Amino acid sequence: MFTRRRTQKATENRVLWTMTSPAIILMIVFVLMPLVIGLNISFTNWNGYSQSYYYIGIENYRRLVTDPMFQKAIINTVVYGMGSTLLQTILGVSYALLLNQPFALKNTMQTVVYLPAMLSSILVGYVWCFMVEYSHGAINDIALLFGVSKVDWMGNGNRAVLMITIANTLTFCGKAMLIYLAGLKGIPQSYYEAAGIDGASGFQCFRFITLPNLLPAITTSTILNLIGGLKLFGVIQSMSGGGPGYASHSLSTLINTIYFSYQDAGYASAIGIFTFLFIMSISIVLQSYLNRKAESNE
Amino acid sequence: MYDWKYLCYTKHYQEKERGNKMKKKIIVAILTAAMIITTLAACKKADPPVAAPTTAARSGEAELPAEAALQGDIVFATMSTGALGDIQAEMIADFMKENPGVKVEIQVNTTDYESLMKAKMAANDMPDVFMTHGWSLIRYSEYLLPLTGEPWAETMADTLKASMCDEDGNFYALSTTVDLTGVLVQMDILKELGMEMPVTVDNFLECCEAAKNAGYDAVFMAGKDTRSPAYVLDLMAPSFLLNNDDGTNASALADGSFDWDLWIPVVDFLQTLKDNGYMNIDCATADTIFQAEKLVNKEALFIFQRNSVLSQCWEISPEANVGFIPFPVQSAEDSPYLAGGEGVAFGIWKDGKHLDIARALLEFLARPENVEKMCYAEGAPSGQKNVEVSLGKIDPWVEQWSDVKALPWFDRVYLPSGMWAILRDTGSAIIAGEATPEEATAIMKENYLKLFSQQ
Repeated sequence: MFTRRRTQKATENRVLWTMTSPAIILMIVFVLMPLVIGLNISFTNWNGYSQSYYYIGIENYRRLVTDPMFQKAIINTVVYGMGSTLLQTILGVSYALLLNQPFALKNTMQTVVYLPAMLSSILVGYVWCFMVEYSHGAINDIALLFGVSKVDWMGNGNRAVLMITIANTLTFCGKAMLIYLAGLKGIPQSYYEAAGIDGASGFQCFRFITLPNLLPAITTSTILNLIGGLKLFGVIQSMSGGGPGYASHSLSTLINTIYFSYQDAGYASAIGIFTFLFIMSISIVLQSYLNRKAESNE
Repeated sequence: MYDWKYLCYTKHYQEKERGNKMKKKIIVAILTAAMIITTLAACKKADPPVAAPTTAARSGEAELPAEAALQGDIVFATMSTGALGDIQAEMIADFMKENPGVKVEIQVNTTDYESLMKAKMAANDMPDVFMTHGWSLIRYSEYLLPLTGEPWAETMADTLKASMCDEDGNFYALSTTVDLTGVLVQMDILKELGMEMPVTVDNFLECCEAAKNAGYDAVFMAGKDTRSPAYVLDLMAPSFLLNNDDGTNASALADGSFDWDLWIPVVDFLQTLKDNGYMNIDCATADTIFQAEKLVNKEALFIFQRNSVLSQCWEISPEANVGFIPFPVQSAEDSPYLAGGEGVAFGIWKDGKHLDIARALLEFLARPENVEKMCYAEGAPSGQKNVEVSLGKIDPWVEQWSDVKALPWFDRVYLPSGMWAILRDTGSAIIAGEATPEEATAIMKENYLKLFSQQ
């Protein structure tokens, strides 16, 4: 009987490995191998297209410490990641609370809020370009109607970062909304009824019932939004191209610029390795913290 | 001891279970195989299309000329769209009609052409014939077939040799046009201000001041395209560094010993235009699509752009009084100059499988009637000495400045490949106030030394 159970387990394991082997192969070919090759290139002076290059040790990593473009890109990446996540969480929870109530056109509103998330980020960026343009942009045209003077939204580095963060937030808050909506549906109504009987106000219900029960959804949404914000590329590339100058580059767009435009594949790979470690560290730390919080609330 | 019914049932059940397990294994194996095959099929290189059969010689007819024996498929890559792209597509179609055994696949890529070509160079998998967009010598020559021995080589325009020939006199592309550029000017505004065409930098700044005081944008800068500020740096660099130089700066740039403090005045010129309010308010974010309008509507006096913008102006309004002038120089004693060099040019991948077809295609493109079509579509003079082209409204301007020397684009000759991107970023940083001239120069120097060492 013991042998029969062992054979059964062995058979189940074989089936499991067989079914997951294509995914493992894809991971190795498209994730692990490029990572290893990128790590190798990061120790060279390869320009990205010649047939020859030389190994230069950790020179590219040393350059990370003093390069002002890289330092600016890290700050921007953190702003895009944390800023977008915070705004998407606030907006997502707000939309979810609103759409959890019954009212007419609720489904239409849900679709409208989620729609931008289905568009290509490059397309979203180009649409925003026309909105923030100085001469013929929609935002400035509306501002003029109210007697407010025009602003060159993308003409200044800080304003450009702000507009990109807002564009990213409004594009993907629909995804956060869906996650929180699902979380809200899982909170038993009896909790609110009991709280109502005890005289709890709306804010108290939100603070002591809704938020703690939404923590698993917040964990999931925050991690996803953070990773998305830290990896932001399409919106930046189409709205500002990383400019003016290099003021709005994220680590992703900086890698692209340095690899293809500056013809420095070695340095770009070093930034890529740093980006990978940076995003992984933040994700792990944040996930552990949020999971501990969720467990302590249970 | 054992109930026979129970035994039969158990045996039946066991057999059924074995059968089910077998079926499950077969289904799993089929699904796994299907997934692996699908994944591998996506990576499989497409089979090359079968070459069209050659026109068979009918009995009694003379033997076909050698070109008719050309057989094979090649890839032609270009970044041209619009009128120029259409002309190139027509020419390719005509070439295939002349050579029925040849199939040419046209690949068009506009915004990412350079990135795509760099990726192809890295993979050593280039198109058979491709556009070199001014970089045939400095960037692509490692992968290009030298074309010095081609039948059309003797008719290459002399103005192209400085930027296209290496130290042994070899060149690597057929340039059908010569890129000719000056400062674009709105002549009606200039007349209204009572100013003469500026010759020196001081004259130029005086014109800018007058235009600003009259409410015009002295220099329209479409900074959303970072090439715009880069053009100012690239096109004014000879004025500051080469025009009155005895060759010292040119040699220093060639051997890597250039004193980069000399670059600061070049960047300072751009900074001056910005600080004095000579540029439009949205200089860092204005789009290039408004450039022609600004000139036609008499809203801007000068633009540092390619002459092809003039063609756009005349498309909007044939009566627009716009043209181009030589770049301002440091003193009246210095000789004025325009920017010239490799224009619409094509090279051949030296490791291509069908070099005979590629060379035949270039020979076809070099025919006078085809060069003329390219020149007309681009609005630029011919890159071949044996072709005279009438370019319409731009002809009087080309004629007016026919004695003015055309210097090659500064970055293509004096800076290593890759510095154009640095010019773009530093120029953009200057007009956005994100960097000072000293900081921009430091970035230029750092990247120059790095790229120079890679050569």
